[in-house]
Amino acid sequence: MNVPELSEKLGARILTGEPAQVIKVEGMYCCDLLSWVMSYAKKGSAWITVHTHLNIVAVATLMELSCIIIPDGIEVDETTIRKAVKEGVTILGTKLSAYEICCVAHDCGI
Amino acid sequence: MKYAVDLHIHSALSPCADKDMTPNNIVNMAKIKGLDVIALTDHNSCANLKAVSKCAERSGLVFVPGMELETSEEVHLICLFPDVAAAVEMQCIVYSALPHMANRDDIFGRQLIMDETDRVIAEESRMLLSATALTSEEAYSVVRRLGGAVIPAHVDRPSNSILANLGFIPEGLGLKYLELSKYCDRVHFGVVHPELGGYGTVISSDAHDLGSILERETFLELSELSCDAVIGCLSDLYKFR
Repeated sequence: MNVPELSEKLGARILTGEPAQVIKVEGMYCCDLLSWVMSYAKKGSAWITVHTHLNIVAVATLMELSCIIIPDGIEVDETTIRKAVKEGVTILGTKLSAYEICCVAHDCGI
Repeated sequence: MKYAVDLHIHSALSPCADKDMTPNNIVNMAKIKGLDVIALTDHNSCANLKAVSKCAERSGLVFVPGMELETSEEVHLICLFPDVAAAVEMQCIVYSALPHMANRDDIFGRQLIMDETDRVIAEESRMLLSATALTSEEAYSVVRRLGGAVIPAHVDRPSNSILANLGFIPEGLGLKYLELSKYCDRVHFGVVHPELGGYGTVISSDAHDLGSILERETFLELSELSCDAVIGCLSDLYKFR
């Protein structure tokens, strides 16, 4: 499954606009300690976090994550979105909770 | 000249601190320990600064008004101010950014506000142990506008630390010093974090009880023994005030 397909399944909004390339989602990762994500997230994972700080973009780039998913309808700063667009990182926003996102992903075979 | 400092001390206003962390006890213990400078840094509040400031003045101890702010990312920042008035201004901003939750003193502890004779004059009813709506960047720019300095607290610890929560120091924060916790191995920290070599480090006690206040073990090179000199040393941006 790729990022736009997962986004559709989640009923999410792609906050960073149409992705320049279609990236495959190879797993899920959920954590809000960025240092932890930098140590344990696996390449290609979709990362669920409540953080909207600019640093999430750098972490996603560094770990080569497939996308960032912001749960619970949290608003994302314009600065973070702009940086993500610049770096080619896709950010999805959804009203679902982290648990619900994982359930949908699991049902999709991720 | 080098002066002995402890820039992270909690009073009985912090729910997690011992209730004998009174203004006079803190100042007298700092004197016994031989410190030259202390800062009072309660969680998200400045309500005991006035009392501690008066006690410190009486005993000839240099006092830096402060606060341990919790940002929206749950990062703890030691915010230090040139005077109590600036800190009180910060408190107004922080209180408007704190969620309106009542403190549960049976769970978290009481939040005592005292005068300079250690008399309890009020109790803070609002829950202070909580993240505010201020981002690290917003907090930094407010403190800077108020002429103060910011030191990210206990960056070596696994929680409420800017390194743990945000992975690395965000670009655009003009920080000069990082705080390491009392038992941090400074050499080991330097080896693990070579990227932080450009920052100064200061070890503070984060004392929640009297015994934990530092002895003469952390020193700052100051142009003179004053609060302004401490802020100036910790923040190279001070000259823009």
